[in-house]
Amino acid sequence: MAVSGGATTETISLPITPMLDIFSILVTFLLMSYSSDPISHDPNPALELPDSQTTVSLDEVPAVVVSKNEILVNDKKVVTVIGGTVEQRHTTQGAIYPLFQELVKLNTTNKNYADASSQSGGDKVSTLTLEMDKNHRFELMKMIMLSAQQAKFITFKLVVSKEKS
Amino acid sequence: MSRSRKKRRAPQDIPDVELNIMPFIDIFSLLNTFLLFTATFVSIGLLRVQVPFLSNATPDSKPTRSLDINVDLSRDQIVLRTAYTTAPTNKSSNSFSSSPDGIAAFHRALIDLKHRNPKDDKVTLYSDENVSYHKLVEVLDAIKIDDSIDTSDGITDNNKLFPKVVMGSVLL
Repeated sequence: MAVSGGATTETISLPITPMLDIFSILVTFLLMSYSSDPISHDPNPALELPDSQTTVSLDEVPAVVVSKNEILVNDKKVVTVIGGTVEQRHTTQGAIYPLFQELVKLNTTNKNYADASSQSGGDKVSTLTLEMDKNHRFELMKMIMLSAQQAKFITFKLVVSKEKS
Repeated sequence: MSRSRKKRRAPQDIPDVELNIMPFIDIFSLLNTFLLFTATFVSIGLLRVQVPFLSNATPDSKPTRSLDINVDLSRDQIVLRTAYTTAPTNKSSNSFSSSPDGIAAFHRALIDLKHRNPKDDKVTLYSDENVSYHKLVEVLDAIKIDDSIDTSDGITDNNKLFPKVVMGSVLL
C-alpha cells in the first residue's frame, strides 16, 4: 500500500498504440478516397444524383439545381416543384416562365463576362450545367430544357455521380 | 580496452531507450484534420447532351451518306432505329427491354453499329415524359460510353461510343 510522503511512486503510461493504429487506417482510407477533380462541389443535400460510368469530371459549379421540391438558379429559388412538376400557372408553351427569365439574365451575364474578358467563350455561353434529383421524370427535365432552349442554352452538362469501378 | 569495459557493464546499466512518437502523432493528427476537411466522398461527373436548334446555315448541296441513329425510350422499352440518309436507306428497328439486361443488349447493338460505321458519332434520343431521370442516365451511358475499353491508363477520352446525343423530344 502506498504511503503518503512519496516513498513509492507509480508510473502511469497511456497506451497510444491503438490510437496510432486508428490514425493510420484513417489516413490510408482518406488518402485512397482523395479526389483530385479540378472542382470540388458538394451536391445539394435535398437531391440524389444518378449514377453514371462517365469519366468526365465536373468543370464548373452547376447553375441550375433541381432538388426534390424546388428549382434554384445560382442558389436562388425560382419555382417550387410539387409532385415532380411545376404549377400550371408558371408554365408557358411547355416552358417554366420564371426559370426562363432567370436563364435569360444568366445568359446575358455570361455573354457580358465573355465580352469583357475577350474570351472566345461561344461554347461556354450556350452551355448550362444541370444538377437534378434522379427520381424526377423526363417531363420536368423537358420543361427545364425548353426554358433553357428559349434562353439560348442549347448544350447541357448533366451532373451525375461517378460509379466507382 | 573499450571492449573489455563493455563486457564488464552490468545489465542494469543499459540506458532505457524510448522512441519519441509525439511528433509522429502530431503529424498524423494534422494530416487527418486536413484530409477530413478537404475530402469529397461523392465523385461528380458530367454527361453532355444537346437540344435541337434552328440554324440559318445553308444545307450541303451534296449530302454525304451517313447513318441516322434514333433511340425511342419509353418506361419499359428501348427502340433503336437506324436508316441511311441516302438511298438505299436500309431502315432497321430493334426493340430492347429497359431492364439492366435489355440495356446491356442495347449497348452491345450500339457497339456493333459503331464497328460497322466508325465515322458516325451522333444519336438522337426521344424519351417519353414518364421516364425517370436515372433511367435516362443509364441509357445515355449505354449510348455514350464504351465500357469494353479500359480507361485505367488515365486517358479518359478513349471510351466514347456515340459522344453526341441530341434530345430530340425537347422541341417546341
